[in-house]
Amino acid sequence: MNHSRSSIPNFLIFIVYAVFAILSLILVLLSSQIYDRIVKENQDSHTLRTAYSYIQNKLRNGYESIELDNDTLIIYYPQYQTRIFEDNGTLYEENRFLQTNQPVPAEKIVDLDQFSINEKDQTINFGQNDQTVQLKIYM
Amino acid sequence: MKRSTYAWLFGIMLFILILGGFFSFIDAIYETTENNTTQLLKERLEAALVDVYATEGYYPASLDSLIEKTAITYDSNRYMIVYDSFAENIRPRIKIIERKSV
Repeated sequence: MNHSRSSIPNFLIFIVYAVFAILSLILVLLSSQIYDRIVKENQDSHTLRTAYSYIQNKLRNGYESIELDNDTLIIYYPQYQTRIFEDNGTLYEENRFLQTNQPVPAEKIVDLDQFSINEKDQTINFGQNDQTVQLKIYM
Repeated sequence: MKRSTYAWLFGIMLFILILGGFFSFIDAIYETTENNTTQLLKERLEAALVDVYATEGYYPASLDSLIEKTAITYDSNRYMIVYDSFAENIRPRIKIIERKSV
């Protein structure tokens, strides 16, 4: 009888500890999920900003003409042309020198989910998960 | 007496087996990491080039300039980096050569 009386409070203490441990675990898991989401959103935002600024700077550097062709941005410089396009979730840049007309192997710019060109509106649309940015081109 | 001796032997063998498995696992992880470091360094340098161009509008003229702007660190005793810069608006070529240990 004595044994059963003393085991009830022990069991209650165990329950309190168990609830505390489970709630702590849930708190840590939730916090880590929130942290992951914030880091991912920051990373997406950085990727978009980088892609946007990169192309903006390409357009600032004294080009002769621009061509928008089937989701590929072609920038003509005096001695070479630069093609910017997306392939399998990666934004690439390919240079082609006019003298040789041989393309240099394409270089990765950033990993980007969406890159599309609206030839009618003359805009470039960048997208990464649920974030989007639009760049207007004045031709 | 005999049973307890066998139990001890079995326990020791199991312990050695687990320890061996653990060390070979650590060794495999270390080797994988070592093999990927050249590729990772190249990816970091390429990403740094993109970042510098996106913020400043030109590619750094030299590797020192790139490192100064991006604070990238690498083991210069282990890697030799060839940085081939052609013009401010054309992406430099980066080649990483791993020095052979003597």
